[in-house]
Amino acid sequence: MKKILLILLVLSISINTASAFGSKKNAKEIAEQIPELKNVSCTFTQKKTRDDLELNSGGNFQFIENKGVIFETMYPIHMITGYESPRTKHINDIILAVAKKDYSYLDKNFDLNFTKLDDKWQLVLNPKRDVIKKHLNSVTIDGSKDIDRIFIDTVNSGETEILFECGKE
Amino acid sequence: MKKFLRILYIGLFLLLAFFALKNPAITETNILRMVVPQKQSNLLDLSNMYSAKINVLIEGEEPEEVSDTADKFEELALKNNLKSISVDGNKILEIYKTSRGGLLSKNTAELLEKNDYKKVKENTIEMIYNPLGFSLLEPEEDPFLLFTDYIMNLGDNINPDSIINHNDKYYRILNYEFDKNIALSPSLLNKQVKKIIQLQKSLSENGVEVYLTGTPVHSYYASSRSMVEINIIGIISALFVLFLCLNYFKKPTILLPIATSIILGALAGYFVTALMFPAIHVLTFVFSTTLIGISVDYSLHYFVCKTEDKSGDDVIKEIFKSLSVSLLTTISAFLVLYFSHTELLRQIAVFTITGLITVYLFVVLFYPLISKKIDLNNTNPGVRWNFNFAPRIAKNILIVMAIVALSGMFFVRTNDDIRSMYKPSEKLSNAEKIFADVAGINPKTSFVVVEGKNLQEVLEKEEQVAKLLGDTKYQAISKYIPSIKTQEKNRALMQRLYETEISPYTTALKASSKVPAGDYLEFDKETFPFLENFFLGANKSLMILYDFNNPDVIKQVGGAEFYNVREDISNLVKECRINCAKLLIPVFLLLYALLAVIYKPKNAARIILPSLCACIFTTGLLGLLHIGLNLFHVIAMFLIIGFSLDYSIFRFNGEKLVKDAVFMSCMTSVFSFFLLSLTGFKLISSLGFVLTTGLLSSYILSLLLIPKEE
Repeated sequence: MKKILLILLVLSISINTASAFGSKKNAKEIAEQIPELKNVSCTFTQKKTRDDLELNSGGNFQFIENKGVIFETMYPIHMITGYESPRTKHINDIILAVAKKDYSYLDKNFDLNFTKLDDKWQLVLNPKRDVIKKHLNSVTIDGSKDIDRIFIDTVNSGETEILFECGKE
Repeated sequence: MKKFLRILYIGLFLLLAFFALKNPAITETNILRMVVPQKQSNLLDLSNMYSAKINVLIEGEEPEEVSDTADKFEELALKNNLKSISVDGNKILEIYKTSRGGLLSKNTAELLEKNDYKKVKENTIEMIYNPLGFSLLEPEEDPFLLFTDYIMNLGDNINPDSIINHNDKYYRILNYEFDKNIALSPSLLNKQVKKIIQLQKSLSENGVEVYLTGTPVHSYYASSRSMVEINIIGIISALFVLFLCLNYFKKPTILLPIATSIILGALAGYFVTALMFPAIHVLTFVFSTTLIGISVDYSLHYFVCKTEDKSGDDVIKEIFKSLSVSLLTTISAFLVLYFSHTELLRQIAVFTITGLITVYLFVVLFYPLISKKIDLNNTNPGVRWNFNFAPRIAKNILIVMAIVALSGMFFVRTNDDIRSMYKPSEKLSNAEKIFADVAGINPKTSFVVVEGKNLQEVLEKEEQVAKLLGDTKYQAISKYIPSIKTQEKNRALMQRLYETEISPYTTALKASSKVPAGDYLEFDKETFPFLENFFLGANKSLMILYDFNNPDVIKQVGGAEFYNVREDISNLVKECRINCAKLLIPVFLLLYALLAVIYKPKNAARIILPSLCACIFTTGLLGLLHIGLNLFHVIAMFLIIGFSLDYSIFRFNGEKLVKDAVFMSCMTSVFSFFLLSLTGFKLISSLGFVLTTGLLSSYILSLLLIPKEE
């Protein structure tokens, strides 16, 4: 589950502005509060919305330590999106940066907001660099014991919400 | 007359010094430059491609340590005016956007050419549903996500900021490239590399290791080590000569003219070489230490013969023929090297010939004059080192040498691999290996050099080559900037797709059915600084191929030439070795003819036989020791001829006392080469070994084959 946290970090572009209790922290401080990511297999459901258009999909998800993520979309079409694909390499790199606690990379590229209330927590990544800002608004990761949700807000592709349900490995 | 010649000598020397020091030559440290001829400019450019780039690899057990160290390194490097290579991705993306009407990924272009619109649409839908996918443009602007597809397929490079996990350790790579002014000046480059090495040392602590790789690092260590070794060898050789002279002559003053002659010889060698070549290779200096061994011979012969009852002029008259023939034969042997196509050999030839002539003239013109001022008489005349072997021993030695030579011939093999001539330190080799593993660098990298009338033609030819590569991964300018022709074609393909498919597919998107107009994408060095490295000239470019095994197909494209740098250089070395080896026979014949004119044919054969046998014996020994014969071993044969003929000539000509001079000459040379055989530079050490063996065997053979004074 914890692994997913990392992923969330990467992907999240939350529409949410930082919560009232949120505070700007550097990646090192935040990473200390986030559990280690290990190999995990989950199911996921995804909702992409843009204007009035809504696209739903779902399938299986896998995180492989030191390599990245694999999404196997089962419906409405079948496809596998792996970390090796050039089309997803850039996002996968961000995920790996979180997984490997590559603070330097995260701090250089994102402003990080971390909030925690009881066992619930939320991490928001807001891009710092223009080149990323032009395509990504934010990535938000919500979790408790495990990661429950990733919300990606993009400039041109609308919003993507991915909900995870992770069983035992 | 002599006075005039002396003034002329001094005048010429000063003139050479003036012109040489006015525009001093730079010191060349690039190892490849010594074997790649100038006419192979493409190969030379390719071998120099990485000559100004340094890779910094930071290794640690924990990613945060690596991250922190990388930040510190960058910060400290910046303070030292070292900037890492960076690209303005934002600017590039904006330029791509304006020209997107002509940009298609290779895969999509192929699908559109086949009118496979169904597959193109499937790909688009996959990109839309891809949880990690996003669009670089509004769907209305790019309904089939063709632009996003193009951009995403461009880069498979390592993200410059990211940490790499490899074998349970974490790494970060930083790249530095020095500007051309620094790269072209070895001394400036070495200063910069020194700064980076200092950073490396200061940051390699607490479990974090910083590795440096790249040509400038190798050059720095190789040249630093060579300079230290040259100094040590020079000092030890000089001390050995000092010991020998003091032991024999019992007069320290004798060292004064000897040292003067050596210094003048070395300086004149440098001046003339500097005037003839824009850059002198550091190895030329290393070889010049051999001058000490050769030029001391002339002095020793003079002083051994300079007894109290003879004036300096008398001694010169007595040994003039020996000295002159010796000089003539040595020059003849070295002169052949000058006509090779290898710059290093030409430099060695010029340096050595000039040095020898200078020393020879100094001995002939100035020693009698010096003898008048300082008492340098040999007060201990008497042959001290008179080695004569009993016939049976002589026979046995000859048999053993013949067995070694003949049996070794069966095992002689050649080795022209350039890598075998330079063995980096274990630390550097290890760093290169880790870097290649971590960065995923394919060791099988080859190149295609493309030439055209203008940039557009170059790009078109690159695209023709790319089509022949199949699935081979490659990097080239045309990958980032398609030719105008291709952009026009892509635009037409895209327009057909839009016209056929836009309505049924994108009604909801309200997308235009027209491909966006816009300027064609063109090269601009400020926007694409990273592409500058792909230019080898105004209308000449470079394609880098990874793991490509079918070079013959490249011939289909006129103006495109395939290069495998390592293989091509090894082939050049091989060609050079064969050419040099072919010269050996004419050299022997030339020297024989020369000696036959001076000493009659039969005597000439006796004089030349020890050198010839020494070369055969040394080759056989290399075979027995399983050392592959390379270009530099063949060059060593020329040096063996040049040195060892002197021993035979002096021995043949000389009086009793000359035996001592020959022995001392041989010992100084053998000692110098023995020291060279202990150096860290494999090429030099193997050369030192061959020369030590060759000279020693030729001396012994001269004792056996020219046993009595004629």
